[in-house]
Amino acid sequence: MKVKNRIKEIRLEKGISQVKMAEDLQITRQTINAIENHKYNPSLELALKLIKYLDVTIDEIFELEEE
Amino acid sequence: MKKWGSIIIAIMIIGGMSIGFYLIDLFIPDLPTGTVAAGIGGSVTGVAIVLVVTKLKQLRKVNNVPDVDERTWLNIKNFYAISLYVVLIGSMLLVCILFAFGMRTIDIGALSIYLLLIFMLLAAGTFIVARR
Repeated sequence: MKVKNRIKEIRLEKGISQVKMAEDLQITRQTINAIENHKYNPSLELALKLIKYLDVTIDEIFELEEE
Repeated sequence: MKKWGSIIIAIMIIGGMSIGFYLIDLFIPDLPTGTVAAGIGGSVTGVAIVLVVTKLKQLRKVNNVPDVDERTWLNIKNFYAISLYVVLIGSMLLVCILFAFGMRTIDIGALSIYLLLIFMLLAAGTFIVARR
């Protein structure tokens, strides 16, 4: 089962750039890109940081894709 | 910790060099002064180049985005896990090939060049993986 996320959509809705988000969360821009393109699943720590940063609930941001 | 980072690195390098030269002096007592000077000069130049490049990168940086994060460490760990098998199986294969060609002994010089090559490849690989 694959984990899908809506980080890109939410980030764009809030008008936050990748660089700004990378600076605020202290992660690389490549990591944001990888997460947004579903190539990398963030750690629980980073996932919780993302939820807090984007001010959304876990269901709004992450979704488990059924096979 | 960040403040002491460069000092700790410098102490480690000087410590490593001192142990290295002590061991060389033990094994090869009549080592030419030129070789020792080249060894020290090369090490110092290498460290200086790395420090200057790091400083330049820091000065040129326009944002506060870190160079490494959790994904970078994971990529590096995966790279080392894979390279362990590649090095072990590759070395075994190399020994088998050399044995098949009739070689029964390996010169320590050739072995040290082989190890140096592995270290260089691993360092280059780590650099590439850390950038991805």
